[in-house]
Parts: sequence; structure tokens; C-alpha cells
Amino acid sequence: MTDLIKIKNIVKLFPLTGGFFGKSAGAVHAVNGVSLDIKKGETLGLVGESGSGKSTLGMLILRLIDADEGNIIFDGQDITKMNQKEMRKLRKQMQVIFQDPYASLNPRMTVGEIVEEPLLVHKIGNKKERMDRVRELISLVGLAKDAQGKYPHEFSGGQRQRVGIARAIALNPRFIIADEPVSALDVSIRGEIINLMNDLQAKFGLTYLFISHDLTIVAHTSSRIAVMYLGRLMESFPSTMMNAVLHPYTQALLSAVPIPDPTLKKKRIILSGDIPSPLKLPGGCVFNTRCKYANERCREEMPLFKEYADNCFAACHYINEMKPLGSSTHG
Amino acid sequence: MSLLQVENLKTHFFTEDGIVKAVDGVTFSVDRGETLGIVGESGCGKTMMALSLLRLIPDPPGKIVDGKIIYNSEDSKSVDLLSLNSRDIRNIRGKNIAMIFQEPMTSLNPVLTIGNQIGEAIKLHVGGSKKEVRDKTIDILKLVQIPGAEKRIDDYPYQLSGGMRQRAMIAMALSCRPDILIADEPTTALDVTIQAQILELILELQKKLGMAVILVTHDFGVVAEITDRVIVMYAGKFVETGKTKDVFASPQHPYTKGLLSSIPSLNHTGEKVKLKTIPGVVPDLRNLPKGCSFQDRCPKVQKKCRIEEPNLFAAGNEQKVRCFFPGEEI
Repeated sequence: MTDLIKIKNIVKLFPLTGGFFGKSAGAVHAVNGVSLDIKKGETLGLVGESGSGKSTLGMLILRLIDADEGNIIFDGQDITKMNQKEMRKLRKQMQVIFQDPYASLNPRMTVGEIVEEPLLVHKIGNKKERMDRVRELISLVGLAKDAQGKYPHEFSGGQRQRVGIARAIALNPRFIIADEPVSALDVSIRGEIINLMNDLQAKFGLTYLFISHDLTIVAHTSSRIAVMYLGRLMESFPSTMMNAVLHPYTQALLSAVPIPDPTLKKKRIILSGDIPSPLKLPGGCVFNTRCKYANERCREEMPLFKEYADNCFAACHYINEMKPLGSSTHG
Repeated sequence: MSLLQVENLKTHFFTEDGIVKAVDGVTFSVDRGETLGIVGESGCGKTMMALSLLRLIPDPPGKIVDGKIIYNSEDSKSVDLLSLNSRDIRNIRGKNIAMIFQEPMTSLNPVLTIGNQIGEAIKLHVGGSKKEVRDKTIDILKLVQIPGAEKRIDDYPYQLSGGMRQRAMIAMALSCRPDILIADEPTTALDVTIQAQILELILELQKKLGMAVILVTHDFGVVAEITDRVIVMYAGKFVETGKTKDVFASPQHPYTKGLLSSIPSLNHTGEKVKLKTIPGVVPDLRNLPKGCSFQDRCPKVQKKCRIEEPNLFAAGNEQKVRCFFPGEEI
């Protein structure tokens, strides 16, 4: 499989200004040197806690914000160097599905108008062609025919997310960023949306970047998973290797997920403290303040993100000495 | 005698569009030292039930129209919370029965220090000099493991992280050593690693203080990890109750089954498996169908289900289920 997107050492800082005459007061290190490839036709899951920079990375890939350093190559073209006109053309190929289907649909537009909007913006087809396309899209995402004339408030959360998906695929994109697409939905309807996204991927050969804070959802939807912490990648691995992850942060994240099985006795790793402020990053490895293995070297030297097993990458000095979590025992 | 006995509690909302039966005839009890989970999807009435226990329902439009909430306190006096006047119920709130809410940022007062807010409850229910109240507040902050409690007591909520704010909320709830702690989605707004910390803390404090915990959540994972018994709610009613391990081992109601099987597993086999779902949406509480409320989403609905409403039937052990055709394979 070839890469659709290659991210090279991308950096995004949000400078803070304050005090007299907008004096600089440091910067939030939102994304801090991330390199990542997304292969054609795959779903890459991006997990991290709040403030880890996962949504910022998504916005950088769409170039909704500009990177301070680094390159993003989309299908051979460096999008960080494109001008607005070129970028606008390319955006047809990259779309986004947002978290909150309540907030991301205009309440004053009908579903038909919402789904037609991207076609209008990119001046595609005449009125009749557009209407045909809208009807096709609405049935593709499994909404009833009469949905077209209704307003978002007439739908449930799951149906609204279907509208969001119809809008995202309207232009036949090749790449879709789904930023927490099911977090606002109830458990019993999450499956519907995930199944729909999988069906569409199979039908149109879509490539997904699936951003979520929920490791179980990502494990289910993605072929590969990348874990972010404080603007950096900690580990990336094929989803099938979930139980063999070695990075102490991934292990803590994994062991913190509540499992719906009361007979399961897990070894829980409780991380002490909170994520440090992205204004003042810890020196060395960014995870050293919460890592139980951290030593002098971790506080001084930043670990490189390198391959430790087939297709498994991690940023940890001692990755080769770590042991997998091991499967939990029933008791 | 149970610590808290709720009998046939009904909380209805009288709106212009009709009566919303948010809580419609629920009966349960909770014992000292026990953790009871109440689980359901949004709109099933779980939060309204939790608020009803402390009579915090906004009135109008809400009203507790029927039922009893019997609280058997340590000195073996039994009171029906619904018969108390507003002064007496205020004495119970925070002192005997305390509550923590979902979003710690919106339930803390942003213009008062956390010490001030925790101290207020102590001053009100326990009393003491300024210094005594402050010392007690520091103790309670230490109990919920806030590092540097002596300094943190003068912090404002915005100076604390999400996890620390939720700890402050818990400190406030525990400040008067309540018998019962009602926790409404206490970890929903938090990251998983912080959620793990807070759940651990609640369990630890429960052991230490011997209180009963009523945990309201939508997350079956959280229920499995920390509760002893569980109640599954749907459209204002209990559809299944029982010991947590029994309900997870053999869910009887098709709704419970559906919910449990729609949770994705952490193990990825490399193939894309279709996630199971429950078709349809929660019915409009103003206009419930005749018969069973779950009929329109139920995979094994029968004629009987559309005519008659099932009761909570006993289904072995201590499990109960509101279904005419429980258990059997779907």
C-alpha cells in the first residue's frame, strides 16, 4: 500500500501574548514534531487525552491552520507550500466529520441544503444534477427520502451524524478526517455510525483518520493506531498488536479503559497527576513526569520515535526493556 | 433494614406538550457500604431519578407525584424524605445524603475559593470556629488526595485541572461524612487516565467511610468495575435489576443484551466486524406506546408486548426483568 499522506516533523505553536503591548508570554506547544504516514484505503486511529494535540494535527492536515515547521505531503504534493487557490481545489479531496452533530449543522438550513452546500461552493453541476446527487447521498447514508426537506432539529443524534457524513462524502473525497464522530452519541447508536463509515470506506475506497479519546472505538475501527501525548507521538502499532504494546503511556491508557466484565481482574496502572501544561513542557521525554520508569536520562534526553518491532514504533529510551501488559485474568 | 428505600417513586414533568413521565414508578433500596449502579442511555430518566432522591427537581414544571423515599439513619429513625418540610430536607442534603455532579466546572462557583465552598457545608452542618472549619477543610482535601492541600485550599476552580476539580467536588460532598453519596456521571467529563484515578478514589473512600454509593452512568465498563448491584433504566422505568456479575453474565432483558453487545471489544482480530446496534431511538416520553416501552426496538416483540405492559418479574438469584419473554435467545 502506498502512502496517501506523509506528515514530516510537523510543529504548531500557539503563541500567547499578554501584559504590556502584547508582550509574548510563551507559547502552547500543540503539536511538537510529529511524523506520520497514512496509507491509501486504511483507517488510522489517533488517540490521546484532551490537550494531546490530536485535533490540532487534524486541522493541520486539512490546512485549516498553518504549520510553523514541517511538511505535509498529500498524494505527492506538499500542501504546506500551496497557495489558497490550489488548496481550495485540493480540499475537495479531503473532508471532515465533526464530533457534535448538534453544533455542526446549521439549524436554519434543511438537510437537503446542508448536503448541497459543498456542491455549490465548488460549483459542481446545475440545479437538477445537484438535486439528484443530494437524493443519492441521502439514501447512501441510510436516511429516509423525506429527510431532504426537514431541519436538523427533527432528527435524532445518530441521524444528524448521518447528515454530517452525507455532507462529507458529497464531493467524492479520498480522505476524511473523523474527529470524535461518535463521542456525542449513545452507545446503542455508535455502532450504526461506525458500520456506516466502514461500508462507505469499502464502497469508495476512502482513507480515514479517526480521531478519538476512546481506545475501544479506535481499536474497533482502525487498522493502525497512533497514540499522542502532549503534542508528540508516543507509540504507533497495528490494531492487532493492542495487547503487545510496550510504551508505558499506551499501557497506562489501555489499562485505564473500564472493561464491561465484572469478573475481570485487571492490573490497573494508575498514572499519578495530570497532563503537564503545554505552556511549559517537561524537558526530555514529555511523559517523564508521570512515568514510573523515568530516570535521569528521560528527564534530559528526548527519545526518538523508532521501530522496535515489525510496524511498531515508539518514543521511549527503554522500549526494549519493557514487558507487554499481558492478558487480564478472570477471577 | 436498608439505608435507603425508594418505593414506587414517580417524577413527572408537566409541560405544554403533555406530561413527561421521566421517572415512572421505581422501587429499590441501597445498603450501607454498597455501590449501586444506575445505567441507561440519555433520556432514560436516570439523572432525574437521582435528583428526585434529594428533591432537587425543578418545580415547576417537575413534580414528584407519588412514592416514598425512606431514609433509615444511624440513630434508627426512619423518615420519608418526601414528607419533610423544606428546612428539614435541607438538613439532610449534604449532611446525610450528598451528591456529586457530572461537570465539575459548572457545579463549582467560579468566584469563590474551593476552601470557601467546602467550608460552607461544614460550617452549615457541623459548625465550629473559622480555624476549625479551615482545618477540617484541609483534612478533607487531603482525604481526596489533593497534593499540597494547605495551599490548594485558597485556589479558585479555574486554577485546578479537571481531575482536581472533581476531587474538590468529592471533597465537598464528603465534608460532612454522608451515609449516602449520589454520583451522577462523576467521570464522564474526564480523560480515561483521570477517570481511573477518580473511580479508585471513590472506591477507597467508600471502604474508609462505609457509605453507600449510588452511581449514575451510561458506561457499562464503569458499572462492571465498581458496582455491586446494577439497575438498567429505560424510558423512566427499571427494565432489569440484579447483582452486577449476574446481569453481565446472563442479561435477561433484550435491551440490556443489546446494550452489552453494542460495546466494541478492545481485541482487534484484523478483520472488520460489524458492530451490533439497537435499531430505532428512545421513544418520546410524552407519548409512550401502549404495552412495553421497548417494543419498537425489540428484536423479539410479540403481540402481547403491544397490548400489555410487563411487570418486573423475578428471574433467578436476585435478578429481576421487565419482559414477558426474558432470557431466551434473540
